[in-house]
Amino acid sequence: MSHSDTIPLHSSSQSDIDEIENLINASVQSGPATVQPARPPSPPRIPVSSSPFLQSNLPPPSTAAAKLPPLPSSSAPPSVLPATVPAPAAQPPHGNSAGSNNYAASGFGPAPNTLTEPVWDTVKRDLSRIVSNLKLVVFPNPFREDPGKALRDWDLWGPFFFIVFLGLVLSWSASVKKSEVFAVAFALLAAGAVILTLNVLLLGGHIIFFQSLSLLGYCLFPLDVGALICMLKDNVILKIVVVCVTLAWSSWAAYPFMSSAVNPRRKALALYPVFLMYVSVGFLIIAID
Amino acid sequence: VESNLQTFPPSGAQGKISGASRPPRDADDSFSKPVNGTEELQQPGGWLRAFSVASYKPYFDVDTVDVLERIKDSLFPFNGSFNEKTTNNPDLYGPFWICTTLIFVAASIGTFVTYVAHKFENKEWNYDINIVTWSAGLFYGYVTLVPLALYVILKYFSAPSGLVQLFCLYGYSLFIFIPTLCLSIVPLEIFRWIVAGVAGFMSASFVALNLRAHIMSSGERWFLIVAGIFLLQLALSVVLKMYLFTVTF
Repeated sequence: MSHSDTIPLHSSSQSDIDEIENLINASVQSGPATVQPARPPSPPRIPVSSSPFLQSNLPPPSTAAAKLPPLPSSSAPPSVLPATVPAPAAQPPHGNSAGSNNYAASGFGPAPNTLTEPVWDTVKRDLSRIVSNLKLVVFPNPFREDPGKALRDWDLWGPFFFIVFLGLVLSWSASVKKSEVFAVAFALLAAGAVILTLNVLLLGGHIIFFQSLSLLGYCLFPLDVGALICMLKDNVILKIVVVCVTLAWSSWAAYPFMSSAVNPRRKALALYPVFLMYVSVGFLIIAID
Repeated sequence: VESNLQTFPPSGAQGKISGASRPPRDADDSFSKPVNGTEELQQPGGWLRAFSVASYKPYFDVDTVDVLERIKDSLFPFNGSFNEKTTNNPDLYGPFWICTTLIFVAASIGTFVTYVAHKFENKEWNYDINIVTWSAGLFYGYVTLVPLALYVILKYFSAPSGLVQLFCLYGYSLFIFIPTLCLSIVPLEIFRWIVAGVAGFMSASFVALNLRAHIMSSGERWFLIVAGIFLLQLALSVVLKMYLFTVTF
């Protein structure tokens, strides 16, 4: 590598490279049995030297921070390294369940043992992501520090689960034509989410297709709760009240995402179909008995 | 120079080092490739364009005030300024969402009416999910197929009108059925017939007048076409009334 470079290395860079290669050798002897796959290119925030093997074989950040000498002032200090590396989108912030999975939590490279880890760990990771997304979307705290987090960590398991659950609850509540009711509810919700997203895109809005599907699915959660209550207690007045409350809650949860995606002159054009879809689902809940 | 070495991946630096013998890249790029405008995605060409979202964007280029104004125009058919406003900027937002709203309103009010009627007679009532699917078929089918047929007929009689303008016209003409359906909750049969008749007449004349303004100049059989359109719209309103509000035991 050094023979093709004509630009001379900084004097302290060479010592960095030596130091880090020593660490690599040390960790290869004592490190994990599996070879880490190369990490996909990371954004240029990470100030490391030009050795390409670096990312995947570094030992846990605390020991690296202790062992590395202070880097030249043009790069960030090593203690910032773990914080600046963005966690891969699949990792929840609190995914430090088992000791051997700490690499995943620290964000250095992809989760090393996703093929060999216990199934419960995989399921727990997905479940915790669903719960955290749910909290961010449906119970938004106006003072939270990172409003865009739910948008970045979107997933489709949560919406899928909520749509199927709503279809099932409606189907259980129906006394005749159960399978048709499920089919209509599922088709309405799935096609509705797709059409709503297309509507925003066609109006010239800026939204990512699957992100929007994910958000609309999560905003269905209040209606799920309402449908469950209506199934358990079959009183028309109660149903109307419950459906109105949960409908308002769902619309309120979906409002910030949809309205910020389009031109303000077309905000009503983008929001009206969302409202229409939730009202029709609410009506279906009331009508099915 | 230092920071180049420290950043990862140093692809820019390596490119410049190893490719020092080639001419600078910028010149090639700007002269050999055509300017792609502001599109960041590659647009498919030919018939595949019908499947890309971007090709339908021009038909949704309306603001909230535009849509509200067009709806208001559709309620007053004898002013006749709808055509001028939409010839250059027809939109598909109005037709699609008016149809969808109509389906929902028709399904919910039809359900409510039959529920009340059955409860009155103390008969057992079950929600008929088929109302939703049948109304969807009726409205979407009407707004899609009738303008298509009209487009072909007008082309045959050499008075061509744009297809999207026809969709726009038919879509907005259905708006008046929404308040009509809301009014039809009233359980008086004669009232429902009057309301349906008035709405049908207004909607049909909206379509007919706008079409007449367009084709009177160029065709000779315009009266037949216009009359046919008028009757068809009236028929739609009759079908609507009978299908949704006739209570069968």
